[in-house]
Amino acid sequence: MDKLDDAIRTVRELDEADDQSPLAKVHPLAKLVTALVFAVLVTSVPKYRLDLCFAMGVWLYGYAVFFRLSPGECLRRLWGLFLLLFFVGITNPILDRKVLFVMGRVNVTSGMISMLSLFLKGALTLFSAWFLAVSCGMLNILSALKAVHVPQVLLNVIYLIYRYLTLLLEEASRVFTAYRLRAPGQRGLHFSVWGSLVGSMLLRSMDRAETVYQSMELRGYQPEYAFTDSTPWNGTSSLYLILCLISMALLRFIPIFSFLGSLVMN
Amino acid sequence: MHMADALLSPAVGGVMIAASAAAAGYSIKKVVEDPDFKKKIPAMGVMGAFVFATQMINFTIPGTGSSGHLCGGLLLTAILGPYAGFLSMIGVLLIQCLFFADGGLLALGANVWNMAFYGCFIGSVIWKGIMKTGASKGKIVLASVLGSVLTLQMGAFSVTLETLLSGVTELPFGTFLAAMLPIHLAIGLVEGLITAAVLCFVHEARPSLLWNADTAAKEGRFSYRTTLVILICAFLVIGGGVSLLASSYPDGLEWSIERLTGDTELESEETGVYSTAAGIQESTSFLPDYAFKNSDSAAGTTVSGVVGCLITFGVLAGAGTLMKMKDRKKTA
Repeated sequence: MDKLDDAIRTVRELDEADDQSPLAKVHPLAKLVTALVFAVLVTSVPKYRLDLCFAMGVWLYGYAVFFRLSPGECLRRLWGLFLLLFFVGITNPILDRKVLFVMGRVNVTSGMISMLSLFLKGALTLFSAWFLAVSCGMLNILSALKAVHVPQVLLNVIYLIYRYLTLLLEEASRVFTAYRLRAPGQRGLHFSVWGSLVGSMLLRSMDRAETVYQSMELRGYQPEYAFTDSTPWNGTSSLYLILCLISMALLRFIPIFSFLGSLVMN
Repeated sequence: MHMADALLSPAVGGVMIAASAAAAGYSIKKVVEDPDFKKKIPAMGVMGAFVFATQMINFTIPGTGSSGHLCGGLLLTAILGPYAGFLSMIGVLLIQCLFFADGGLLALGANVWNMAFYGCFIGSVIWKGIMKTGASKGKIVLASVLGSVLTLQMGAFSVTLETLLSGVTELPFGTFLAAMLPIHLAIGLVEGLITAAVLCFVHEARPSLLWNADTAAKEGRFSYRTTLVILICAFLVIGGGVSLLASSYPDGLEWSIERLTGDTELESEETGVYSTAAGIQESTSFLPDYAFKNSDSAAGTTVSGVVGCLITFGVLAGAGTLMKMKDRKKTA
């Protein structure tokens, strides 16, 4: 059950990453808006404009270098995304065979370009979401959502899922380590125990949730104050947002790299 | 099934976010109306975390060497009801998107729609309908499998539609759909069985946890007569109505023969056992090629369907009676 251990490690890593980022002084809402606008700008790039995808890639790379953000765990998850994009995009080079240019002896078709841009867009949006998570942490993302008036009930549920997550992942990991030790060499959970093992874990979790929630309330937990703004909106946040939006828009709408390339070619 | 941002255009992503936000707004309204909603909040949190954790567990599928996982939407609905289940599923998808790179920010609306909306709302209709007269193991299995298969098929259909509307693939709609639906049929079946196993356990251990499954009415199963009437109606509808929609194209075997010989039927010898058998078939078949003799009327197909169903039903009923008689003789 390596997936469970991976998940526990990821949650912990992201929980701790919050304080280490130089972006800590920026309001989480500014970071959330930047990530969303980046996703919209990247996905709006026409499928044959590989140059604009590269331009957005350069922006994200600059962002990561400037704020000292590391792709870390995200790089490993890239393969899963590429597998999905490969399934959807593999037919583009087969069905879209219009030759755009010849590179050496290879005819580069529009289908190849559209498939490449699909992969690039996927990777870029994945990294930007990851950078948001790394630089904010869950609590700050929730406070950003609260700032845009997402209903409190939904925020409470997301917060509790997140809080119970580590608890349950650890419990599941323990249960399945014990199971694996009793059933060596078995790839997964045998069907004869599907119901009893997972079902009993569910019932125990339900009981435990009640106890944990009561303990939280006894210690003064009030959902509406659980994720108040730890970083108030300040000048840094405004400057960050304005600079990010302007630089992104410039690279997305002005083909700077094509212009530079044409200068070299001419 | 998680869609990545790259698979969506901003327009399609925006529409799906709006649609999911509307469904979330309505769900919040319904959850808050519940007088016990404050008590429900920890259950929603823990169930969301539970679904998240169990989706990381591999369930071995016997005889295939592969593995599957729980159908989260349906499990949440069966325990929490559709509205609370939907909100929990949004939380799961948001955490998966941000922390585990499953899906994207722009694609969150589409993922909520494809996985949570169908799983919770359509799943709840199926669950509620089947549990109307009380829960039993058989009904839980039926609801879980049917719910998982149907909601996953709907989700896969939506993924295809959203990807094509976004213009990121050159695949024609039909081909894409033909690739997506069968694989999700198999996945749905397995997910349904895993979900059924867990829910059956809950039903045995703590039945009060199941949503809208009045266990007091456990015995309220369909009577033999009701079952018989439903079966006959289903036979008539499928045989008489749905048969009209049958494809006029050759089936798999006919298609293969056509590719080899140029015709869907093989030429047989005019003499010997072939001609004798063909003669018998011609004289006994009163509805050749599923139509009236010397007529192209669509009614022929309908009548063929109904007659076929009735004959099959008769044969099965006869076989059943014979087996019963044999058993009675043995016990006597």
